[in-house]
Parts: sequence; C-alpha cells; structure tokens
Amino acid sequence: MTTDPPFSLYPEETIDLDEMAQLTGASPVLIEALIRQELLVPVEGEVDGLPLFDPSDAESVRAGLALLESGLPLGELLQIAKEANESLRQLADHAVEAFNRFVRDGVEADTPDRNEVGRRLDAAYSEMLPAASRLVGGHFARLLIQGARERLDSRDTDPNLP
Amino acid sequence: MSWNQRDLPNGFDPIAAGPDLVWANEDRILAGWGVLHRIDVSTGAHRAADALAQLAEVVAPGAWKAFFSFTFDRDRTGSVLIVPEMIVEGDGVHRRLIHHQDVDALPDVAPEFEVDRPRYAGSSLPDLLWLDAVAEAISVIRGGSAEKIVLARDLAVWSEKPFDTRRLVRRLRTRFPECFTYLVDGLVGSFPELIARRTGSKVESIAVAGSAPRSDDPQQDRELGEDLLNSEKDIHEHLLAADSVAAVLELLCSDLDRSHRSLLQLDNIHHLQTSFSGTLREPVHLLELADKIHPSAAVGGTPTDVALAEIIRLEKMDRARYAGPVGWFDEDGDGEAAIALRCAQISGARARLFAGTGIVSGSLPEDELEETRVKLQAMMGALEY
Repeated sequence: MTTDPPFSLYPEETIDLDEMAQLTGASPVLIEALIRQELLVPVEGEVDGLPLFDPSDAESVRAGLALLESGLPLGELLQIAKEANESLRQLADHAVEAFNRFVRDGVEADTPDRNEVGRRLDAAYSEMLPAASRLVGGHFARLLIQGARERLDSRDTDPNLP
Repeated sequence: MSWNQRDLPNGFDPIAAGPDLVWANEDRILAGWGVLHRIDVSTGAHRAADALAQLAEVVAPGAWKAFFSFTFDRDRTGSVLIVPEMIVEGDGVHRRLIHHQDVDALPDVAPEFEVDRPRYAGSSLPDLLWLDAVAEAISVIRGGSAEKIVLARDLAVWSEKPFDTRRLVRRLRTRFPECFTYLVDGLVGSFPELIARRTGSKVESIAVAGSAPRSDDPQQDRELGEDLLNSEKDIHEHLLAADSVAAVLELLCSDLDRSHRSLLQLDNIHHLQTSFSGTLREPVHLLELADKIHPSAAVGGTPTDVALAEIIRLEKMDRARYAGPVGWFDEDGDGEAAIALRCAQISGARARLFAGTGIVSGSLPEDELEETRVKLQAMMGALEY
C-alpha cells in the first residue's frame, strides 16, 4: 500500500472550491463542511473570499467519497474523521516539536551557514514527511486488519456481534 | 354494553403482559390490549372532528380510553384511533383494570423471546444528499422565504428476529423517565414534548426545540448546557416553536401562563423548553386541541405553509406518523397528546427510525447531520438487545 503523501508546504499550483468539486465529485456543501470540521485544510490565500487548495488534497476527498460509496454513512464517517483529527493533531504537534528539537537544533549546531541549514532541513523534511506518513498510515492499516480479524474470531463465539 | 373496573395488585407490571398500546410517563401508565373499535382516520383539516364523530357512533358510554396516532401530513392516510378492549391504568404504585364487559381475562405475562441486534439497512435519502438538502433549506431561509424549516431523515433497520416492543418500551421508560413513552399501532417512542394535556377546562403544553449533546464529563456537560441556554441560533429556533404554540393557545384560552425558557436534560441530549398552562374559553376535545396545535414550528417550521412545502420538496420521504400527534383521551375529552418524535415504526423484524432538526439561518449542515445522528442513537440504543 502506498502512503507517500504528495503534499508540499508551498504547492506550486492551487485549485479553488469549484475545481475541487469538479475533480472529486464532492458537492461544494460537503467540501465547505469538511473545511469547517478542519478535515480539509485550505492553503494560505484565497480568491474572491473563497478558499484555495493543494490539488493533491483531491485524492483525500476522493478517498472519503469511496468510503461513502461503499456504504458508510456520512455522519459516521465525519464522527470517525473528527476523532482521528483530534488524535492526529496531537501526534503532529508532538512530531513537529521533535523535529524542531532534535533535527533542526542538531543541524543548526552543526553549521552556522544559514543556506546550508536550509538545504539540510529541506532534505530532512523530504525524507521524514513521507517516512512518518508511511509509519502512521501503515500502522493504522495494520490495526484495522488486526481489529477486523479479532472481531471475526469473536463472532465464532458470539454471532450477534456486528 | 358496559365497562367494568377492578383493582389490581400494587406494582403490577402491565408491560410484561405485552400490551398493544402504551402511554407512560413518571406520573401515569396506560396499557391497552385488543381492539374494540378501530377508526382509520380520514384526511384533511377536519380529521380530528371526523374521527370523533365516527367514534361517537360506535362506542358506548363508559370508562374507556382511546389511543391515537396521527400522520404528520394531514393529507396522508395512516392515522389511527383505537379503543382497546382492556386497559390497565395507574400511577406510580396503584393499578386498575378497566375492561369491556365481554372481556375479563387479563393477558398472561408473555414469555420473553430471543431477539437479535438491529442491523443497518439504509435511509430514504443518503446522508450526503440530506446534507445538501439542509444546505438548500438554509439557502431558502437566508433568501427570506422562511425563518425555520424542520428537516427529518429516517434509518431503516432489520433484525434476524422480530423486535420486542415490550423490551423497547421498558428501555425507553428507564432511559427517559421524564418523557412520554408511547406505543400505538407499532409506532413506539419517547419524547418530552407535550402538545397538550386537557383536564376539564385546564390545558397545558410544553414546547421543546433547540438541542445540544451531553457529555459524560460533568464540567463539560454543564458547559454544553450553558452554551445551549445562551446559543442565539438555538434560542431563535426555540422561540419560533414556543411562539407557534402560544399563538394557538392564546386564541383558545381566556388566560395563558408562559414559563421562562429553561434547560431540559435528557439522558443523551440537552433541550430548551417552555411550558404553558391556561383555561379554555370553551370546551375543546383533547384530540381537536392537539390537531389544532399541530404542526408546531418544532416539527414543521415558520411560516408553516412554506416550511411544509419545503419539507415535501427536500426530505424525499413520507414521514407517516413520525412527528404527528400521539396520545390518549377519555369519554370526557380529557387526555394527553405528545409529538411522536424520537421514535421507530416497528413491523416484525423491521423498523424505521426517525430524527429531525430545526434549520434556521445560523445552521450548519454538518452540525444538523450530527444532531440527527445523536438522536437516532437514542432509538438504536433502545433496540440493541
């Protein structure tokens, strides 16, 4: 399973709300709800008061729609996503703190050359972001499989379990 | 033909005998068995009066009680009025059996039967499209055509074994003791909103609108309740509902008291409520009183005609008896009527659950979807074996 995020801190291109809706098949109503729920994060800047997005976020929106098309009600998905968001935000804060304290500080201790610091931090970011995403995404997938297997095994003893 | 009465042992549990009809709250329980008279109520603006006229032609004087459940939409069939052959009524402890002269055997306590968990089967309108419907309602409201539109959705569930309505009634009464729990012709639910209670010339009503979830954490729960009491959006929604009830009662009553808005705390949700009590200028039967107040803005919207049209356009489902008046009355025209909310229509091993929410200009579609999800959980929880 590929979990490499194509995200970049400063995307070269951006798309607006209508383009996101066309690319994904999601209604503008849903996209706006996702923004308010902080499940879809616009990039900095806006046009005519409307948000802009990294085009790569369309893949995440399509992934959510795939879950809905498989039968999961939107209300349940939003609730699960909200719980995931709260947990992942804490995790992200911790990871950013760790990056600053152990990677950035370490690089800055190594050289006073600001350009060299910048180059090395970019390189570190390019390695660490996809690696962290693979770790988190891969671990979540493993937990899902394990949980499903345990539930299937439990149904042998209690068939009334969902 | 006559009706007879006798006392039953204190604490007798009528629910265990599997009644076909139930009305219960903290102060009263009514349970009915058998069908002495069934009126399939007509449609239209005079359906209550027509039903009473039909009943008067067939029912003999006596201590009978009638249970009723009307459709939300006056122009749809499906409303019923049933006089059971036998009733057990009582307060917290005392129990009395009232039975038609031809029937004098109290039903046996029916054995509990094996049940299966409720299993999801979909909705008339998928969540995603319901979200869009809410957004459309908000657009209509912000465009100035309406102030409030109540939109509901349903959830179909199935089970491998028939649902046990006794278990359901018992669970709802335990979980929501401050609510009116009802069972009429398969429609079972529990909600605190009293459309009307008539006792002689006295009439009472409780308007409930505006909601917030509860929390297991006491501090957070207190804050959620306080936020609701101060929420402009919910206060607005509530005032529309309370004012719509007041508007009808003021026409019918020589005096009307209106309480201050307060917090109603149920097991899983906070609501805002306003109570009314008054004296009727002229006698109005409980059934007609309830149908005059219906639909309040708590289940329809404001203005009523615009809201009802938008409900038909946007909900894409038949509410049937959901959100309609449900209750009981006696020979004197006294009785109680609630709104059939937080309910399920049970039919063997299938059930249809309902939940709705009041849309106003400050509503957010995803918040309204979440509110209905929380409300549906109440019934799903009651159906879980």
